[in-house]
Amino acid sequence: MRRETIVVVCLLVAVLLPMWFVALHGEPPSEEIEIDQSVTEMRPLQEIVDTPNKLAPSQVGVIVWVALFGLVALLTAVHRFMNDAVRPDDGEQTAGDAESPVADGGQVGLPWLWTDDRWVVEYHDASDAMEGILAMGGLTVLAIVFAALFTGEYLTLARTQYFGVYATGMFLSLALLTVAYYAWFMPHVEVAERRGH
Amino acid sequence: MSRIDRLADRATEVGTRAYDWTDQRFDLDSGREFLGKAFPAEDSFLLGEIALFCFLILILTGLFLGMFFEPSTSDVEYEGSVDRYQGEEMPEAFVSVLHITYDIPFGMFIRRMHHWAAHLFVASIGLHMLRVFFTGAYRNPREPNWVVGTGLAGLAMGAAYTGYALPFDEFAATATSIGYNLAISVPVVGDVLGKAFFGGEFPSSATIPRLYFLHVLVIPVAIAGLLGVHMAILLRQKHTEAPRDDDVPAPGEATVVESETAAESNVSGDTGDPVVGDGGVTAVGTDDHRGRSTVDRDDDSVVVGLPAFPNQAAVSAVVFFLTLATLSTLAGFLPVHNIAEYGPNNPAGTPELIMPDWFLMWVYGFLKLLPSWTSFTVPVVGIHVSAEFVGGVLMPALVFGAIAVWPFVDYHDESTHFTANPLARPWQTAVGVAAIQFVMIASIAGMNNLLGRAVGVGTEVVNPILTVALLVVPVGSGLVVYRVLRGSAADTDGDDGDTDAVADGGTPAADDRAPEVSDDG
Repeated sequence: MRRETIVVVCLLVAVLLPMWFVALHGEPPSEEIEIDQSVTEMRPLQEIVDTPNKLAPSQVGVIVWVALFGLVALLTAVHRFMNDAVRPDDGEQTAGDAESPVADGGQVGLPWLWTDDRWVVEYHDASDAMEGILAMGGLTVLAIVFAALFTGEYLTLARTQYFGVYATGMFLSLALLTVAYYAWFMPHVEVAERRGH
Repeated sequence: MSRIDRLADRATEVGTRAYDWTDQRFDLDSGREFLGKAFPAEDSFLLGEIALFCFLILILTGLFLGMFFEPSTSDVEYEGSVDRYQGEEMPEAFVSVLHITYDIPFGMFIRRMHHWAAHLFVASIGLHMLRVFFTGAYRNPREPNWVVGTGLAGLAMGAAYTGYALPFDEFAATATSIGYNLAISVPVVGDVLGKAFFGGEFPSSATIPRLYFLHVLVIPVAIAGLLGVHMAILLRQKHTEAPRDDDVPAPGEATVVESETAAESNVSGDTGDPVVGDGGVTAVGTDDHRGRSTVDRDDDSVVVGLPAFPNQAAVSAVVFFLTLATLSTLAGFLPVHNIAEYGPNNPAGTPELIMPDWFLMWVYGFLKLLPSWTSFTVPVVGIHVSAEFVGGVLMPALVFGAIAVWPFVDYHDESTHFTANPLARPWQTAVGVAAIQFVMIASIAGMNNLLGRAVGVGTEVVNPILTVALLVVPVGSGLVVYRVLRGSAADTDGDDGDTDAVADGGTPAADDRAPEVSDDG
């Protein structure tokens, strides 16, 4: 990292961390809400892990920014994997290489990739590797299992933390399923497009 | 032909006829132009998509909540499952949210998800704007979209604020009253604003219906409208692009047909489509396309990226699912605005801790730091200007105004389509760092009671320190950043004698662009 970057980051962190430190001194712990089980069979508060009962807006602010940074980091990792996976190794083939093999002898891309002001500048066919089949198969099963658990939870105790786990598992599975499809079964296409103004 | 094949053929035929029928009426083919739109494959460019998907999730979860919410402050007897409130007469809005939270399957989860999505919406818009700011992506010709984006940020905050009060619990109602006091503090038109947005003196029976109307219709429609404008401008102007590492070879040069068979096939077909030769070689050249030259790394008349469909659509799907996964985790494990803990609004009482949402904390900080002498009465006309108006309305308006007009302050005559390296823009980056610090310190001031509690002193001790810090630290940091980056530019100048573009905040020269960007992301 360059010296200038370090200076800028340090200056920002020097204020960010004190702000977060103060913000986390929000709500003191409180008693859990009691549910009258004679009224409902639901157990929304039944927990897997012990978590705070309430959060002050300042604490919410810290949590949401940490979550956003985490999401961006995860997205960056996944996005880079997607881009790297569909491209051949540098030593084998380069971008726009005329030797890029295509298995089925079919057409590259879709008609809208080519217009008077747009054309394909990079193409690498999908690898169609067996590991992709396995990954997609496994993730599909996982997504179905989590979806079933999510639905089952609705039909039974409707516990919020369990909803969270099942929904997270389901959406992560779907995200990784898309990543796997992109990495192993989708040709990598880049287009160039005239701005026109 | 097997039965399955016949069924598949039949399905294809039906699909084709359905497409043709629809195409004749809506000219679907004209939309194909959009499907190939180039999206530069930059990680940070996905922040806008996170915001967009948060808005979508807000709409969907809001529809669920709207089916059960009662925007009324009339008292009703609570008969739900929360033990401590059973048999009590409480406002209907509060009771309906208790009902959503504790008695409807999914209710607590969906409500929490709505809340977290609202916060993530505001945060992702903020980070998106910071990315645009520091990379100079607001420059000519994108000034209009920056202004639209600023409006979206304001509306996002407005949407969150108007939703905050709806459960009519003790904490939110008290915090929302700060907004009412600010509205009526506006000279001349304050009372009108109070009636228009809050239905009169807060809290009145008209307050919740009025805020509900704003929250579920007026502001979402305005956001949707501005999002449409934002996207339309993006489509027309096309994305900015990070500096390219190398020239992008034209298909005629690097991916030209090598198989004679393929070339003949392509030309004879004359479809304009890229064709793959039988020999397994990518063949994307046609007479039409061979004429194109290599896209130079500095050629900003062309944008290079993934086509919208299918490649970018897949990336967007990943963004959507990961955003949902993040919100699911938050909603599952962390409560947000637990109204049962606060109880219904009690006009006679005041909660121990009062504060607005985190993204309005800096405004609250102005209110806490402003001295009383900022209240004054204008001679002759006799109009009273209160400290609440100065700190809570005027100063935030100046901040938002400064953000909106920034592209016209950092104005560029020439169109710029490449993003800039923040380290190559000394004064712009210095202003950005100073502005962030200013907002952060003001936010700490908004939490001065928490700060005092954390360090074991009273607010009368921390307030003067925070006032000085608010005025001194951002300016000092800005000067440090400017000095460091300017010195770096001078070093570069000594090395290769090319810093003109850097000095005026323009796109850095091609030779020093790529390595800096790749180093710092």
